[in-house]
Amino acid sequence: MKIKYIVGVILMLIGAFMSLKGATDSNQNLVNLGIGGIFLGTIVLTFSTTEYVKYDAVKAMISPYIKDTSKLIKNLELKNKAVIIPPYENMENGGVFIPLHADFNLDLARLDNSMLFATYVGGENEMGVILSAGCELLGMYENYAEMDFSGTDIKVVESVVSSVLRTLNLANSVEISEKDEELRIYVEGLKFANICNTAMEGRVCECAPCPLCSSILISLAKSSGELVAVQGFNLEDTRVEIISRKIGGIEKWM
Amino acid sequence: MDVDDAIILVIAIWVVISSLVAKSIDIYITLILIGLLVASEIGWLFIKPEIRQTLRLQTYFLLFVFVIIVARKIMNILM
Repeated sequence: MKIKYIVGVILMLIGAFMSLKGATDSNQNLVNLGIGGIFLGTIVLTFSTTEYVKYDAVKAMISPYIKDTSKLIKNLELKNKAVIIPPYENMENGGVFIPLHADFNLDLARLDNSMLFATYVGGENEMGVILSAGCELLGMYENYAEMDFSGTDIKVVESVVSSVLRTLNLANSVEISEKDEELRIYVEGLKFANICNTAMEGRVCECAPCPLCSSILISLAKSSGELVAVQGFNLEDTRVEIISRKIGGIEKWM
Repeated sequence: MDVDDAIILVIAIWVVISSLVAKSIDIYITLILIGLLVASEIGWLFIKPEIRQTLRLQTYFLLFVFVIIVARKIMNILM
């Protein structure tokens, strides 16, 4: 950031000097270059506000999350795959529900943002854990796109998510394909694929996807207005495939 | 290379080429405006919203200068 700031100021100073020199010498090219230098200086200064956290820092922060989630899943004996809840009245940012039973049921009217363990519910098959992983990233996607994902086409979501993840240096691209109710998401060039490897061995991804994968799934749930059930994760080098299925809208699960 | 750096590089190349090609400040500023508009349009989704605000201000400033250039040309034709 500091280098960009210094370069911007230097460009502006050189530009101003060249403009003056060009004007006194009646050299149009020099005047043009001077104006260009000033303009480029302002552009570099504008972009100098961008700050990135180093990759190692992200890795160090995500690893404990994966470990803790893995412990949580093991201790609570959660073996079922996650269900992604799109944002609705009770949960404005949506969430990730890990059901206690395979033949789960959901009563979204009983769930809300403050819950971690869904225990005060209608029956044992409605019990589970609610996580909010990925909700902040969803906000970031919408902030970048300056739009709300509700009812948005899947290709728009794909384009925005792909661009933002690339800008944040988290992944190279995201591809989403839809066939009937099945959604397949391909995240290419994942930067912390080695962490994914560890998580996938412990089946953490299927039960509690990391914030990155959750954010993509919540984006899709929001755009379609339907709950999305995770079906599987595959990892090949730095490419992650997420298989999921749309399982109906909010009204169906109320 | 970061996306930000790529955008800066594209604008820089455009500005340098334009400065060598343009024979007057009017044309040069118009070319810079075109370059900025194209670069920000293509890289829109990759640019942080806070940076976009500043880029918008720069675009508005160049548009204002462009309007003055056009007005001057019209005046020259009419006079």
